[in-house]
Amino acid sequence: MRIRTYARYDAEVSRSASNISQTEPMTTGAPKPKVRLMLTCLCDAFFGEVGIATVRVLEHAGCTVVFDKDQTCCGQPPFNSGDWTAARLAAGHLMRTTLIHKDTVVTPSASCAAMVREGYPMLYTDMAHPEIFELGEYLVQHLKIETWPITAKKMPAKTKVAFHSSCHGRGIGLKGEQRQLLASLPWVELVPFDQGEQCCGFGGAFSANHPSISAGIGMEKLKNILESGADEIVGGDMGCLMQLNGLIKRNKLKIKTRHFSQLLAEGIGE
Amino acid sequence: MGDREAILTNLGKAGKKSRLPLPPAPMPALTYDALWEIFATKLEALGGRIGNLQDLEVILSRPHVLDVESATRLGRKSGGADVWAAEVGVTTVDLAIAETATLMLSTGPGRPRLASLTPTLHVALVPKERIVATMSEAFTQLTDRTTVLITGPSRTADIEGILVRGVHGPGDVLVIPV
Amino acid sequence: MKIPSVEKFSRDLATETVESVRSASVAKVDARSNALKIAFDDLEGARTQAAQIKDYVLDNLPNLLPQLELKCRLNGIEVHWAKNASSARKTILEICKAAAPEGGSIVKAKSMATEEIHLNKHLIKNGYEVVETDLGEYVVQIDDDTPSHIVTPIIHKNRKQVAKSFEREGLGPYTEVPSELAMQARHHLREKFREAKIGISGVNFAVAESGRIVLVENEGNNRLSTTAPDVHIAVMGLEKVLPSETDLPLFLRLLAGSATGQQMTTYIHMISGPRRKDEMDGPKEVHLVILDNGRSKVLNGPYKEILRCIRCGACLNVCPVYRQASGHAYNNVYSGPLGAVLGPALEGVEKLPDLAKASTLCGSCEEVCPVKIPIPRMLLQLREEANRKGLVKEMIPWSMFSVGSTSGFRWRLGLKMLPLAPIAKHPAKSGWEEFKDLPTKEGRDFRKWWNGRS
Ligand code: SF4
Repeated sequence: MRIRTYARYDAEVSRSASNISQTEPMTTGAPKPKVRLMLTCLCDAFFGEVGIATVRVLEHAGCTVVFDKDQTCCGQPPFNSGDWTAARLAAGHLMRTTLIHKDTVVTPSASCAAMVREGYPMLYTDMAHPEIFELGEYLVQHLKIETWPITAKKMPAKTKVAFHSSCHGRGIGLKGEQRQLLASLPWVELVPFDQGEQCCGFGGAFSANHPSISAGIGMEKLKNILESGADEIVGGDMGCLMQLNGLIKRNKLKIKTRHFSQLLAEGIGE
Repeated sequence: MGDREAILTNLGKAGKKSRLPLPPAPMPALTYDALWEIFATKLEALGGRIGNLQDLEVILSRPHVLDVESATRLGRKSGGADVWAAEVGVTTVDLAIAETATLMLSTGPGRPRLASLTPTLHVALVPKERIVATMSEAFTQLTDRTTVLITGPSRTADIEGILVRGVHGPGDVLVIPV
Repeated sequence: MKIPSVEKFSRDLATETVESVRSASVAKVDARSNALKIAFDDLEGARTQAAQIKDYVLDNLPNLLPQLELKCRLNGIEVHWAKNASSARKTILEICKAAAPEGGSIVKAKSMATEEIHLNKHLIKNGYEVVETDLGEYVVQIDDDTPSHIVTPIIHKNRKQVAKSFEREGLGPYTEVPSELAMQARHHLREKFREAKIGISGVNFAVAESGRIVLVENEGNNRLSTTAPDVHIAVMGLEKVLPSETDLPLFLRLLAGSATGQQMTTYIHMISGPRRKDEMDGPKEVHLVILDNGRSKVLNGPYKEILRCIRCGACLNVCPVYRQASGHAYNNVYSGPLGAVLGPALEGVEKLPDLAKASTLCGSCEEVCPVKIPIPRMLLQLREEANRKGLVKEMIPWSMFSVGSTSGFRWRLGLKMLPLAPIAKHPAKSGWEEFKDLPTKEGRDFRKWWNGRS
């Protein structure tokens, strides 16, 4: 993998790369799969609970989780907006802090996984598709977990879930892994709804520069979901859920949103 | 420089890219009767009909029948209505294609191009053994004549996606195996 | 901040129109998937094959087009080349003048290529009466509107609007029944077919090996337009050629399924030339106009694959943005995801710089495209090109973002300042806030939690 350098920020980028700081939890016993977490900027900024749930889920699945504290963002926001110089800078930083270690990288977002897997080879045309996995994909495809192992003593309250499969999940070839894990939770009832595969209307900067279209798409999605009688919307991408939640709050709709890792984490005993 | 040269210059040199071969033609595996059965089911789903020679008798006795070639071939007097005034157009066809209920008609002597188009009813006479399973198979028998493939009645769904038959072409298609 | 054109348009759109577009699109998406499921055991394989044949065509046009030209001539079809729209209009007008010097009526079958070169206006200016004969296109014409979908031109109208237009034009008594409206159009247009000396159509496919022009339609107006008048002029984008007749079944099935959810389109007209000596009807002259109009340039650039397009419209139907905005929003004859790429590709990013931004990049267009065009990838490339050339002003200053995203220290500092965001003023923030509440920090902070673990 050749990493190209770009003018002004070079010095800074290489400096930050040399100071990579890591905290690794103690490992004991048999060798566990080592997984490097790519937290995502949204979980970093707003949805810490999703990051926490992701770590707990991975550890419950037998992994040792490493988090590189200098990690920032995968670069998708500028990439999607057409500023590929800025995108390369962010991408370069993620490569230097996280991808460079050649460990398995897992992220609780199909969108960020898609950016690294499909977007980086567009930014660096001689780059092979990097290995990075979406959480559900990693659990099912690689750890072969088909049914979520529940250790919690007390069952969480029953909930009717409308599962939103993100477009980028389809884009990286997810085949319903997240849904499969959710379906294995006895307190979860998955309810189908019309136009299940339709986009939520987020699209990153699109939601700010095409606000009425974005909201129109999101409201159509919510209308279909509300008709299904679900208690909550569960998805695997905080981008989608942030979009839907913004509309839910503004329109005072009676439904909440959660990341699927949060439901899996509920099944883990202390 | 003329447009032709300008365009060809812009296009540059042809690439050498080879192409995937098409899948091999499937072996004929169904009897004529089985093929006709498929054809009939598909045609009826499209709003067309399968008929017999008695139906043809009744139709040929109607006024405004345009029938240049087929009736004569069957030993009947030829109807000769004006192509624009005709309410019924009778034609023979080259082939029937079972998988899509498609008729393949080439033009030629005694076969006006408009006979299967301007009337409200198109009657297609198909020799029983002139049926093939697939369009790929039918295409091996294309002639060099202008040919039209007809699948069911004329239709549109331009207004609110609602299906309407017979907008410009025949709204009624009657296929008679002979 | 300049509002992007598609967003701007959609804001003024009547709810009624959005609902028409939405319900029709949803129905078409369902019909498509049902039809293709029946038609193909291996749809993936079929799409790959079709994409590959189209790529072969795009790479071999310098051979295929002269071959097509030669075979057409042998069939008695006259071939003309037009490097741009004005050249095409000039050629077509010359053919019309020769055929009907005193003017008169021209019947037209639906064709995106003729929309692209704005042919109707030109012919009308030169004294011809041009009548669109596809039901939808006819409504578009009498309403002085433009098509909002490449397959279903009046997807944005409901039956009431059509009924009013027909009543206004005196086609018959007021009715809202679609079948009665269709019959009124049938009767009205019949006379036009009889009268017209010239018929103009597009081309769906042209077969190089046999010199045959292939036209695909459901109504019959296309066959009438290309059969009844003495002169038939077919206008074809140069990428529409196929090597061989054996390629047709694959494309015909993909097109029928993707465009209208049918197993096969009602009429496939395969024209091998004008009326022969032994024939009773058919045009006496057939002309094929091969149109470049920017295509050869696209062929040698990053958006080449968009020329695989067979104009099925599936990407429009499935597109969430198209459903909200309708086709007119794209300010271009080609709309939806196809138009967002083909428009700027043909006319230059400079002319349509913000069109590529009108997408959530959900990828459903690529998923349904029968020739697997990587539309999202090309939208990203177009955004990059527009940004690089400074054609659009970015809402978010990405160079600032780079400063934060290339250092763990500065990033963490930025996160600390986030609680101040609600009082900040920024166009991106107000864009988000217009219809949605801002996200707030919920629950624990990840980094604090991580650091606190032992
Ligand atoms: S881009 Fe693909 S899906 Fe869209 S109209 Fe063209 S062929 Fe159809």
